[in-house]
Amino acid sequence: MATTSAWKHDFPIFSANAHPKLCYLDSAATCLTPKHVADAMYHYQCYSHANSHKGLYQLSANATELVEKGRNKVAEFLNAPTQSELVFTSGTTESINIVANCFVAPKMNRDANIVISSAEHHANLLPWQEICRLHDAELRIAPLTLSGIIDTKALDLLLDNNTLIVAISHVSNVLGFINPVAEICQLAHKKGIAVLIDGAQAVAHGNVNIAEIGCDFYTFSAHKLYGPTGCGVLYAKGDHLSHMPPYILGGGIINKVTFQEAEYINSPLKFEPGSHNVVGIVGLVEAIDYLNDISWFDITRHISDLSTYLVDKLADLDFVKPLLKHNCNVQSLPSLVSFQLEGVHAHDVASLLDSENIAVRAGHHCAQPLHQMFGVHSSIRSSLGLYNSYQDIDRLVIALNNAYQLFAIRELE
Amino acid sequence: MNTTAGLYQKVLLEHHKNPLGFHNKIAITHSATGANVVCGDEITVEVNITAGKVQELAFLGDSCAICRASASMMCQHLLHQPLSQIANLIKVPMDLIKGEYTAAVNSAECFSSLAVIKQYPVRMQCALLPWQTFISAINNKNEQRG
Ligand SMILES: Cc1ncc(COP(=O)(O)O)c(C=O)c1O
Repeated sequence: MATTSAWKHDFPIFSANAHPKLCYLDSAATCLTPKHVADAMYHYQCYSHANSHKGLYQLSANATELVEKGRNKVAEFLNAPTQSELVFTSGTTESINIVANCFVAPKMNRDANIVISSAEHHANLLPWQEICRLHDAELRIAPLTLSGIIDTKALDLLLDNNTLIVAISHVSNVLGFINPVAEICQLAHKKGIAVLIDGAQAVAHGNVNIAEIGCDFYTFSAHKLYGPTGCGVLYAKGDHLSHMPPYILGGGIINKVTFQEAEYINSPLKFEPGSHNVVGIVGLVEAIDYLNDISWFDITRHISDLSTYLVDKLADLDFVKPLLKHNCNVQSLPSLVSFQLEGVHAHDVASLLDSENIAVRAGHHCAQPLHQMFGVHSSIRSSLGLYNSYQDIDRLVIALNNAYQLFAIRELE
Repeated sequence: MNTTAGLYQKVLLEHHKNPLGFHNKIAITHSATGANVVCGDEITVEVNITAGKVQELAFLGDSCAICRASASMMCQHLLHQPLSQIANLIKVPMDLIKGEYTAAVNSAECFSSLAVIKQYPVRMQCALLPWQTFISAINNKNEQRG
């Protein structure tokens, strides 16, 4: 494999007048933007922009068509079953809040419980924690196996007649392993319990197949798929949406309104009040096309080659302590690794790496309870994208060595 | 490389590697714990105030090099100082960190390695935390121990 990525030149951020030396290892936070996506958004905004779903003139009808075709494109990308609906939201965070507040909250009572896992992003913890607090209900936390995936047997034991939903990540943003989501859906469905999957970290690895997973809700954000921020998706199975009240109220979500009451429409549009983020949806659609054009086979192979290299290289550094050792029994390699440098604080590592133009995440990555579980405050996370190459990982390794030499306090440990 | 060589000045690294007051056992009269909301780091500052003076000073916690070095400088700076002088003594380093120091640089010389932090706004709070926690500690009559 070449030392540079074949797709790096698609990303203008690396151009000579921007950040040619950037070594970007934070794609789990957000993916950089390919020119195709930025261009599509620019062209839409300059030459085709109008308010969708409202105007009776052609320009508006074209914008409506872009949104509705976008919906089909996303459904196809996720292999969503035909009996389902897709809502465009502002991102994973909003999607999960909709489900918490409109699907689960109306059924809450003090005997109820909600099951999540210990490896959830705050976006898939706080909405549940809050509705449990408001109703004096119980939030149950399913543990992880030693390999860092959700322990399905232990999770099963937490489910009972009062469980209203199981809400878990497809891939944890700290550990990076793929959870057995299809198996968890089967377990939950046997007991009549709905399942939400937070797919924020899974979509960039392709092959999301909702028909196979069988979940009730699936959420993701466009910016973790080389698209723009401010645009995301909520998939809902069957007619779930029709039983849910709207979340945010405003224009475009009603059949009929009087001063006294309103009758809401029965379609995904009920959850898309106000004016659509058409440019965001255009960006998401272009990102999906861009990735399809490359081919998911090549993308997956590229990321998994790099991932093997990253895991091996880090394992060679005896002062690097992964939060979780990669276990050969886990089928897939993670596209991200979270670790600590012995005796060095994560923030100091990130600052030093930054001075060498290497961008990594340092902190708790919006998963504070998980870090508490590992007995640490923070970690460094290195995550991979299309533009990365072996060379980036070599640079990371050199910089980590430098950071260790500069900061490590050995005598106090 | 230059920028961080800038952030992590030699003096600062010295304090980080050989911090003054770190985990010292003292007869605590006042203490407080402060947290950095950005990263969740915590530091505990312990003080012995007797006869209107800071007689002893210590800190503990798992924190970054900037916070640790800043705490160490604080221990050096405030030891044996009368309480009446504390507000003045604290102002110089805190203003320096925040980039609000306007007076002649002379009296701030010993903190010159803190002065660069203002160029790294994301790290400012790391450097301020020990000083803020010290202020809470001396105001913390209720938490008096020892
Ligand atoms: C697993 C997971 N869930 C949810 C989110 C929140 O996504 P967003 O900020 O796009 O709403 C993230 C983003 O970091 C994530 O990694």
